[in-house]
This record gives sequence, structure tokens and C-alpha cells, in this order.
Amino acid sequence: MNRICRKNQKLLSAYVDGMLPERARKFFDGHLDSCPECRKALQELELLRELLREFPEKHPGLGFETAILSRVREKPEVAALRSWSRRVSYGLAGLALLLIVTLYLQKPVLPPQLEVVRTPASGHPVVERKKTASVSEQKPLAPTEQKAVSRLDVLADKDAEKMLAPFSAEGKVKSETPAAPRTADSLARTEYAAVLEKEAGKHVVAFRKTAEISVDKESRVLVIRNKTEWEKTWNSQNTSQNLSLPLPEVDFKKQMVVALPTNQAGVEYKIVKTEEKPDRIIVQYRATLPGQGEAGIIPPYQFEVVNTRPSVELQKLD
Amino acid sequence: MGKNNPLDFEEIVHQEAKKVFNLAYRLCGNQEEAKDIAQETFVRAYEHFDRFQGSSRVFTYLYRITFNVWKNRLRHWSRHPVFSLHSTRPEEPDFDLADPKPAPDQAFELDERAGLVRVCLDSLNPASRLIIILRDMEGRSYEEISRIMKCRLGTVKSRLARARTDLREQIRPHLERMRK
Repeated sequence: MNRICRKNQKLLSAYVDGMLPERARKFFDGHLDSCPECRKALQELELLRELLREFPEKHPGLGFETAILSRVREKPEVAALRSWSRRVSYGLAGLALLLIVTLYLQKPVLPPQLEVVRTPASGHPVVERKKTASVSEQKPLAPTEQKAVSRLDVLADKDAEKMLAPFSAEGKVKSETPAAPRTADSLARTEYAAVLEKEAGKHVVAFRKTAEISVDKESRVLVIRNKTEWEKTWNSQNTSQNLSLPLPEVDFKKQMVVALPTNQAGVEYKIVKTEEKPDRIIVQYRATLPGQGEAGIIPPYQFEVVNTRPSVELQKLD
Repeated sequence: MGKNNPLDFEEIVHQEAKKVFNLAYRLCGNQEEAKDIAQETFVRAYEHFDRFQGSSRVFTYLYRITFNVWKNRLRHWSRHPVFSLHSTRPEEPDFDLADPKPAPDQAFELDERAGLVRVCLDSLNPASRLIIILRDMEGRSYEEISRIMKCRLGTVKSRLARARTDLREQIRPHLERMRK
């Protein structure tokens, strides 16, 4: 097939449909007279079209239209349900986003360095910078710190008035601004309130500690009453410590093992004493913040072999 | 016309159901599947009938939906072939994506000529299959095809020429036997 014929093949389709412009059709008619290849292609195409036209129509069968209509009628409810479920999922996604944003905004924004304002005899405010611990650090608070007041900023009168405007006219308005982290993992948390005060002719925004809430993390304890569990826990302890210490003998007919996880949510726990009562074992333990307890690598569990009792009671020592 | 007037829609179903079914059947080659495609087409049409402004004829709208429903199913089938519990080989679905090597002899049992067309048609890509069905089986005009396929007349011409060439190449070895 030469180049012209190959090009004409593209015209063939429009030619059989009578869609070629007059001039092109006349040219193609002339070409067909002299080109057996294009004539053969035309015959093939015509036969093909004949086969396609003959392709039988099918009947969908009785009741087909009724089936469509019943499916259409039942579908709107399903569609409505789908639409509702979509709305609910969008709503939930929105709520989740709102929660994330709220939590993010509630994060402490206090800088590590707090500014302490003192008013000297001259009446001009002097700003001193005092290095203090960041409020986001998880540290038990000393009783002396409870009354500390940290001033963050000194405002000019007009700025203070602007700031006061939305509040009551009393001059001392408390705005709930949680400035300390509120995580359940910390042993203690402190709540702050932003206080707007007028002092020595200047308005001052101060953050006052309003409450200290200690969060007692309930310690969990494992009670091992069979050898399989004992082996499993002991081996996991060995693996984590890169050790291969032999499994201590425990007579599980009479004894059981109390295993206290030594670190739970950043708090270190240590068994101080176990006491056997007729109906229970009392495990007395102490909780310390990291760095306050013993130095060195602490194994994941502290084990105590005790006589079997139906229950275990935990007692936290101060 | 639309959801507010179900009687209108019912009339449309009575008028167009057979056409939609036949388009689906010619596209997929399986009667039960074609029924299901047609039903889904009408359900979708009903759900979105508010969007249909009557700017084109109803069948154009329905044909477009039919084609999309079938194409989505093709994609699904290509991703999730059916496996029999008794065989590790995927079962042949009643319709398939374009197969470069069709086996026309398999299709001659029922009706030799129709079977051959079916197998060769299945070798085309979805858009080519649709354009051949619309033009050469249903005798739709270029304008109607351009509205259904949402493309220009020139595109219809070139796509049709390509589809016919491809189909002719598939069917050529068997054409001599097909001559009456």
C-alpha cells in the first residue's frame, strides 16, 4: 500500500458514510477506479458494516421496565441514607478538625523566659528577665511557687483601655487562659488565669496560677499465675535488657508473681513492700518522675514472688 | 420532568428502556449484565434528573450514563477478576477489556456472523466499541454521536475511522467466509 492509499484509508470511513466534501469524494471515486487495494478495503468495510447492521437486537424480557421502576422507587431512600451518612461523616470530620485546632490552640504559649515587672521609686517600669522553667515541663511544683506571679507584658494606657473595653469596668477581669499543659500523663498540672491589673498607673497583664491539680496515675500491675505467662514475661524482660538470665523457680501451686511495670506514661514506679493478707496481697509502691529515682537502666518490670491470694491491692506511698 | 413528576420518568422508562438495554448488551455482550447496567443507568438518571435541563434529547443523556456505568464496571472487572473456588485461574467474565488476540472460532456456535462480530467488537477499546455501535449498529448520525460522546464532529470522524480500521483488521481473516 503506497503513501497516498494509506492516507486514503482514513478518508474511506467518511466516504462510506457520505461525509466527504464533494471535491474529496470525486477525487476518491477516481482513485478507487485505479487502485485495487483501496477498492478491496472499501469492499471489506462495506461487508463489515453489513455484519454490524445484522447484529441482532435483544429483548430484555417481560417485566424489565417494572423492575427498573421499582429499583428507581426504592433507590431514593438508599440515596437519601447515603447522603445522610455522607453528611454525618463530613460533620464528624469537621468536629475532629475543630478538636485538633482547639487542642493546638490550648497548647502553652508562654515563652521559656518570663518577664518580671518591678516598679522602682521613679515610677518608670523596669523590665527584668528572669530565667524560669518552661511551664510545659512536667515537674512537681514546689509549694513556694504557688503564689508566684509572672507578668508577661506592660501595656500603655490606651492599649490597656482597648483591652479592657470588652470586659467589665472593674479593672480586674479574669480570662480563662490555660497556659499549662493538660496531659493526663503528668503527675501534676497547673492552671493559669490571665489577669489584667492596674498597678502604679500602668495596666499589666499577669498570668496567675489559680490551681494546682495533681493527677494520680493509677498504676497497673500484672499478676502471673502460671508458668507459661511467667516464662513469657521473664523472657521479654531478658530480651529488652539483652540478658539471658535463668527463669527463677516459682511454685505456681502455692505462689504467684506480681509484676509492676516500672515505667508507665513517663512515670517511674517501684515496689517498696508487699504485705500478705488472708484474702489479698497489698503492694505498696512509690511513683517518681524520670530522673528523680534511681540512676541507670531500669528493667521494664519489677517482680515480686508472693503466696497466692485471690486479689492484689495497690497502695501508693508518698 | 424529574423527581417531582414520577409519571414523566415512568414514561421515559417505557420509551427508552429497550434502547438503553440494547446499548448495554452490545457494549458488554451479556444479557443479565446488560439488564443490570440498564437499571443502574435509570437509577442514576433519576437521581440526577434535576441536572438534565432538557438541552439534549433524553436518549443522549441516558446513553452517556450507560456508557459510563459500563466503563466503571470494566475498570472494576479489570481490577477484581472473578476467581472460582474450584480453579486458580480467573474465570472469563462475559465481557472483558480489549483482548489483542481474540479467538473468533469460539464464538461461532450460536450464530457465526453475530459471534464473530461480538468477539471482534470485544477487541476494541471502550470508546471505539461505543462509536461502532452507535454508527454502524444503530445508525446514529455524526451529530448525535458527538453529543453522546461530548466531542467535536471532526473527532467523531477520526475516531470512527480508527475504530473501523481496527475492527476491519480483526475481522479480515474471516471476511471471506462471511460473504453470503
